[in-house]
Amino acid sequence: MTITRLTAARRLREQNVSFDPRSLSGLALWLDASDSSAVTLNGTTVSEWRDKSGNARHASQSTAARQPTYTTAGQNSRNVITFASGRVLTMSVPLGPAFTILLVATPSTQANSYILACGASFGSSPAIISRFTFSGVVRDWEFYHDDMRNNVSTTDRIQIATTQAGYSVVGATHIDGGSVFGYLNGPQAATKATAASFAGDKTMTLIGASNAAATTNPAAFNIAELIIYSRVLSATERGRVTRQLGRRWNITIT
Amino acid sequence: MRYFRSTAAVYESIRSQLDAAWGYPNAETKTETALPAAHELPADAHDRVYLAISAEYCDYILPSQMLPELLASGAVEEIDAAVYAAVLPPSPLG
Repeated sequence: MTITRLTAARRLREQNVSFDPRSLSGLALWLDASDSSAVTLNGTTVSEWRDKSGNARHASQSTAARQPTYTTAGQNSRNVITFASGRVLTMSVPLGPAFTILLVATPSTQANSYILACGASFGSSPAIISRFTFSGVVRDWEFYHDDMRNNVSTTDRIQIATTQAGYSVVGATHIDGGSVFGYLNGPQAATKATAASFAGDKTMTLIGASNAAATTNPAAFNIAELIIYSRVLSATERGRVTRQLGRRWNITIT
Repeated sequence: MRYFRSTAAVYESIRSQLDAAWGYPNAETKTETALPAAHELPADAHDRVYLAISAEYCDYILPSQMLPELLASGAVEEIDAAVYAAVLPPSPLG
């Protein structure tokens, strides 16, 4: 009986201890909308979303008309950032040959949205890392994984389809020349072998658009948290981060 | 979204007026300007620049006061999404 109580008590402590993404090596970017000390506001819009990873890869927007909105108590009583058409944050996050992306977000309307993109390194048609698309009630989270240069083909992606509304913890892992995996609230939800290795620089530069002028982006989503590692996390590591995100944002993780 | 076009000179004059009224650049809020600079906007062969902007932004007090006169004078023309799209660079996937 004593052992059982100790085990239960330990389990309860572990559930209540916050997990810090910085405890895992290779943290490249950590954007947390719930931390108001990491957000600079221009009235109700966001001019800077500061990177908590220690790498100072802050996401910013100095033009008022392009700034996304800071939405208080958007999810689980925590603040989120709302992107609409014409709103974009720019940054510079080198991705390298292997990476893990974990994103907490939701569409705000049934509109296709560019979420993350690589920008100027790729000429006039920046390559997209992630976007939503809709087909009826089914939403697809898409991660593009092949040669991320101009005119990325729609075949060069994984799609994570769901009819679940609201916020999700969406993940993707990538290795140049290797496989790409997609995860939805924990379990693997998509996979595809990469057709070719990436060439040249891969720098993620945009949240909310496919180009820095935000001229071609439909966008209608809320983003709560974005974590990127410059390596592929193990299943155990990914599980820890995912469960923490689920706890923070009241998302059921399976 | 609402869509407008004008000459770059007219556009920059409007942007300057908004910046002056709203106190941009503002170091505390890390905001440089109200609107994108003219050179960042799509343009056509007639040197007109095109702006896409949220309807909500147009409803702010100052733009809502300025727009009727600008439109009436012809200095700024409101256009539709299709006209705007025609001057855009190609989108990666649509």
